[in-house]
Amino acid sequence: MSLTGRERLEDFFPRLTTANYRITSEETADYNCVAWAAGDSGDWWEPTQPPDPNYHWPDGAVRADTIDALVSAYATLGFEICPDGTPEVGFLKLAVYGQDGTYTHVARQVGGGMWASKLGVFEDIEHESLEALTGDDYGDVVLFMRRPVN
Amino acid sequence: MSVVDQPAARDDLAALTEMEVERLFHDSVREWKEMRRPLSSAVKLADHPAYLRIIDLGHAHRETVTRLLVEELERAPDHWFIALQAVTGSDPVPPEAHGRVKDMAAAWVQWRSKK
Repeated sequence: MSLTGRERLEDFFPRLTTANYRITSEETADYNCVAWAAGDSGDWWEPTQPPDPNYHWPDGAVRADTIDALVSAYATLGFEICPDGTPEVGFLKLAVYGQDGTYTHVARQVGGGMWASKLGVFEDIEHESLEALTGDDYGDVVLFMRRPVN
Repeated sequence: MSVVDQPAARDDLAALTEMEVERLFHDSVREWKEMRRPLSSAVKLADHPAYLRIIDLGHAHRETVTRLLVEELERAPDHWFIALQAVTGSDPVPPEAHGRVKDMAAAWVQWRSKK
């Protein structure tokens, strides 16, 4: 029998526990974490190679699944690399997960020291720690980015 | 042994009846949805034995699998676009729908309704 909801998420990410996250959306294939972190819940962002116009990727960004390419994609939106994920007044921060030079996931900082993540085609969640999503699927947090909040 | 357990060699797939194709298709859809990981890449999601089996099945039974894929898109919009492109050789999604899964699904439903 297939797992759903919290059971499935906690199976993917054993560090998620009832006390340290909450589900904030239904599961949907409409958008992925890369789009969600950029504030876009209407598109699926992916640097397909060769380019497949069915998937969005910002004009001018490097088209590859590398961490450097992801940085170039967010740079088109005004994000720049920053030292850490400590909350800073006036800035929106992103945490980029990756392994072996490839990006795997992006989380967006929200209020109260929490982070928001879209988990593949599954649900959005808010989680207390970035470590909760580290492991086999997403690897580790490899860098942070920020941009001024308008 | 279920159809899913049997080898998916092209000749074996070509020999399936329409009822067997439908059963293998739905078993494969279920398997893909149950086994997929929380990945941010549709290309990587498609690189799964159950998904690739559907593409192989589509090459052997193009009309039936195209119908089933579009019905699946209509029922629950999801990342079937790579399979549909591989099976049909077409891409009817207009530029204004690119990146938007529900709009892309609607474009495929409309494309099939016109055929």
